[in-house]
Amino acid sequence: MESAINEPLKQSTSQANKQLNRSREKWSRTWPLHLMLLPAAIATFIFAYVPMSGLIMAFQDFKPYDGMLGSKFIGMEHFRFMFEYPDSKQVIWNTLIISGLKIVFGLIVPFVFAILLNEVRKMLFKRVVQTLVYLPHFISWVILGAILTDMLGSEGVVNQVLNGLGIGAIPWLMEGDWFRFTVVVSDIWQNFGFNTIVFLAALSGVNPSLYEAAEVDGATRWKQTIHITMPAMIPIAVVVGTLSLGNILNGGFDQIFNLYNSLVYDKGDIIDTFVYRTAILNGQYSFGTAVGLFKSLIGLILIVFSYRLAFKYAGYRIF
Amino acid sequence: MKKLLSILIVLSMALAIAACSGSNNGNKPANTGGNTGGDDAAPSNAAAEEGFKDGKYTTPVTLSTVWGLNQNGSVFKEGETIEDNVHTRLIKERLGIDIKYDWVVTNTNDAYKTKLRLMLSSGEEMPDVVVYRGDLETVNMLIDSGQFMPVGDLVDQYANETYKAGLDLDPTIWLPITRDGGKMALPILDYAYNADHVMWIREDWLEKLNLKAPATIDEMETVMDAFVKGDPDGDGSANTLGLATGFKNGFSNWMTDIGFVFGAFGTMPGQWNLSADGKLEHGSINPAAKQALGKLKEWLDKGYISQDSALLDESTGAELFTKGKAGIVFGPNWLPAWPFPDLLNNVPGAKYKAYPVPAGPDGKIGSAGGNPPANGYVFINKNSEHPEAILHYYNWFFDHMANPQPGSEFEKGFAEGYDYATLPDGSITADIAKYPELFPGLKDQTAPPLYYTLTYEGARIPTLYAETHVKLAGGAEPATPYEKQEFNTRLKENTDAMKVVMDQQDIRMKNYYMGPLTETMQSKNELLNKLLNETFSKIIYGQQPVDAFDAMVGNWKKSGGEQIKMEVNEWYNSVK
Amino acid sequence: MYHKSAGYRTFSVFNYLLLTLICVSCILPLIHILAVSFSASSPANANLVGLWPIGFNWDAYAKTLNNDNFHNAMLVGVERTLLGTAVGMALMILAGYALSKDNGMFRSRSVYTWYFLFTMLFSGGIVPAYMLIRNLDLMNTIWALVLPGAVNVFNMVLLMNFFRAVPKELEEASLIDGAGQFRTLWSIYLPISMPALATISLFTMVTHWNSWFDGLLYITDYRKYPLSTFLQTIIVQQDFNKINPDINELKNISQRTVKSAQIFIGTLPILIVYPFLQRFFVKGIILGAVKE
Repeated sequence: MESAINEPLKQSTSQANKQLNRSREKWSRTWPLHLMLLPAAIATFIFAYVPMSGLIMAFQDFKPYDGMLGSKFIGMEHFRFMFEYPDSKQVIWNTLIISGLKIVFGLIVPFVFAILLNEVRKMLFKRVVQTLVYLPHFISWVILGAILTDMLGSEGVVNQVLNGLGIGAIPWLMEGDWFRFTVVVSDIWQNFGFNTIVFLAALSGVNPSLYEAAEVDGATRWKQTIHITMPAMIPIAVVVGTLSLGNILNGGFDQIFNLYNSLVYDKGDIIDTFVYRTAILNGQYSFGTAVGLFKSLIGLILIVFSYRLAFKYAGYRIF
Repeated sequence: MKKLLSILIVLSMALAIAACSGSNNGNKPANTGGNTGGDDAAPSNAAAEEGFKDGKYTTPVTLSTVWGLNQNGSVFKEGETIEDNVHTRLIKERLGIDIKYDWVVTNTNDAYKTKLRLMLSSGEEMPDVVVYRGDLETVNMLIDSGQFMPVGDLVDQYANETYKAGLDLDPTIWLPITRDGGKMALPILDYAYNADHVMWIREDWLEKLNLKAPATIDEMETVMDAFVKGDPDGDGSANTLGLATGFKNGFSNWMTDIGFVFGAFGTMPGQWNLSADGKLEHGSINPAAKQALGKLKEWLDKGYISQDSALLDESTGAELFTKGKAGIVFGPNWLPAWPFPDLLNNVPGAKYKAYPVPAGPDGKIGSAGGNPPANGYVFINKNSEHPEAILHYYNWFFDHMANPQPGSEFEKGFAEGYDYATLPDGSITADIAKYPELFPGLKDQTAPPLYYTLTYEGARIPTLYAETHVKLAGGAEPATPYEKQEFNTRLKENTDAMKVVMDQQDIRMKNYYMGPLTETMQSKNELLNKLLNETFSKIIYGQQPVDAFDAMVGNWKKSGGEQIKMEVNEWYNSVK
Repeated sequence: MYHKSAGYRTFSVFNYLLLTLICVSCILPLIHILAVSFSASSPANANLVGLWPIGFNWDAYAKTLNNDNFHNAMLVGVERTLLGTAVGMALMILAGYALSKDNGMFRSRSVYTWYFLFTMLFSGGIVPAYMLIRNLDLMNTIWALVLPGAVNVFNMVLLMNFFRAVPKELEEASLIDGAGQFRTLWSIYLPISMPALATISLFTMVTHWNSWFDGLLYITDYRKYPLSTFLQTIIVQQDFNKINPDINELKNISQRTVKSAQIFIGTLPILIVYPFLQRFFVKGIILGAVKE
């Protein structure tokens, strides 16, 4: 309630600020900044914006031999097809669940891992750990899929252990809910080491004297973690988290494609695997493009939304 | 550096804009009516004929193409490349054809297919010939591009008797590439019956448990039961399987096949079968499939097949056999060449043998196979100056390489020092490890120029392989170079298996639908296949009752299946 | 001192233990792959190899390393990675620095930010990208591999965030001293941001080193493939559905060992680079401490 009352006030002050800012920006001060941005802006224009013309295919019945200009326009036909497709609700839902879990835990796990690693005083141990956990990132899912299928199969190592413990075998890849679990965990496992690096970089920017001062004040290590370590990483965590929202409808094609099977279609089929089967295999580029466009739009909306949220309530610009 | 870079970028931007607008104008497809032309469109043959005398173009002609390097044809002698090697030089010398490669890509992860599709999509000019071996969707895209000509007249006019005879073996070979009566590409022939299945059994297990090879599904169950319970591998624990399976990719497979179970009840899943009333019907919704699924479920429950079958594909499923865990596997005659050597290495003393596919309760036997012997297509650009050149080329390989007679020029192989070498005593060898000095410029592997050819393996006479092996299986002495080569390189088990295949020819169930994707298939195939695969797997795994099959059939029909059936039969009536 | 307290000690023991366990879980699959790569092909193909090679041999490595094109591919791979990282870092540092300025001072930054962010989400797909490269005449040149991915927006935004964390006083002091923006970036921001630069360089290098598909598309001469593309092409996929395999072909199929060996051949250079870059994380701390 309180925030709702304060809102108009906040808005008006921020508007006032904006006006002030506008008068303050001077070409004489900012031209070097514009110049610095120029090369990247041009490269982006050529290699990202020019090819974006291909998005036109989403509204066409694209035939390779007619080309992008010659193909027939069919308006929103592909989008209609997508939403009327009997399976699409289930597939979108699967994607949201799998991808949502990956985003949340994909952020939390490296964050916590970086904190744990920060508590390690033995430099050699720290480095070895850092290097080893970063390795799985480099194994492709073709290989990893084969290894996992093997390990998680009915007679794989994992189920042998579970059987030995009297728990009984678990259908990791052959039952829908377990499949989602397996997919999320193995994805986190593959990437947390790599994603930790960026947090470690943030931590190495922390001035050691802060910890020393805190210690003199008698703060416990836990308090230091909360008040020094975590604040140093949060801005990066917010950025990484927000940007990954753009991927909310990418469930991880390579992984799912290499792990799924007809027993888990109902809970494991995601948008990209679905598009692969319906469109890519048949060379129906326009349907693939239309679905891609839809995914991007949702991603954009989420990013804009969280950006505005952060700015409105915390006065913080994520980007 | 920075300055240079920004200049470069600015320049390329200008170029990009200029080039893009330019090409968009220029790339408008000039030709639209390619697939309506029919067979009467063979152009300018008179002029072309003039240049070709005594098996050679008097003035060399250029034949442009694009190429995906495959595994076999990627070993080159030092200094040679796909563009310039013993094959290209020989063809230029003998035929007066100068092969020019517009681009070459190593064909991995579908790179060749991707590049072809990109070429079509970006309106690039197609070369004189495009060769493609792979999925029918890409074949259809190439046909639909309208850039290639009908080949019917060319074949009539230029193809030699061997090629024509191969094509005539099964006239349905033309169906997948026929549009409005026009034959839109040259089929590349391959050995027939080579994909047909036999039942491979661990002979040493049969002997050990004192069993005889099963001839029916019932007998097969007895054998599988013994394989599971009788500890055939003698390690003291019950860790063996009856049958090696892997149906991640479907229920009628090229290896680790379970299609025979369906065949035993009179249907074949995943394809269009000819039913008693003369119409085509989809094999997966035939009531017989329900019986087969019940049988497979029983086998899974009893431990005859692996609990992980739904996770395994053909290759990983076959590992169950090659590591000595399963006693039976269904697959083609050539498994002794691969992957069975792995079995012999992993399980010393293992023996295997091919048997006929077993019969079902009513005596029915069925196994997928018997499809026309086409393996890839050659597309001829309709603006090509010498559209007949590729036929002269293919003819030459049929004449000289497909089945050389003793004493002929190429009886030993393609070229000395490449795929063979002559020993001082006059005998020939391909053993590069033993005689590296006879293969200068090569290491580890011999160079197989036949695989550099535009038609992938030179030329293959469809019946030759099966006939040769049936003859050899009967105990005949190998006489021709081809027979000798097969005799020397194939295992006896392989040869015997081919005999088993040929003795069971009448059980082959071919896919009668060979047309392009129909309208409803394009929008509904994915949905229907998913429905079938999911229900099939879940029935076998007991996640759904067997009676779920009936609901699935109803669902299949009303989700577009009925419509597809109509379209398929329409097509069938039009080509019958 | 904190590390003397009993509670923290317990935590430390637990922490070391947990980290060790996690490491083991990460390394086991790799040991398996390593074991397969050194095994004889039959047990490897039948999936019999666990954590120790069966029938130890080097053949899988020899097959790749003896290939005529290997050395060249290695060179192209290194060239592509170095050039790509240099170009990419230059563009991203400049842009990231400019974007790290306050909205108050540099109002247009929001426009730029969204201009870049947009491209992270939307892409026109492979067909127009291919046409562009062809029309720019970049086919078969190293620039086709370097330029399209030069501005990685994700990395650029990260970099911007690291620059933002630099204390404003430093920048103001520098500007008051009469240094321009370029000078400030060069002599204040870059030295203090070594950990961030090391991180983003690593990300960029890894991306360039691992990308192989663009090589297949844009490099028309297979002798000019970078290493990652080359490694992909050593093994050619077999589609048996239609093919009647030839006996020579079948002998070459034992691929599992080669595939495994390639993971190590391809990953090793990056593994060597990483510990080297880790030094910068430590250096950053020292510099930061001095400056503040």
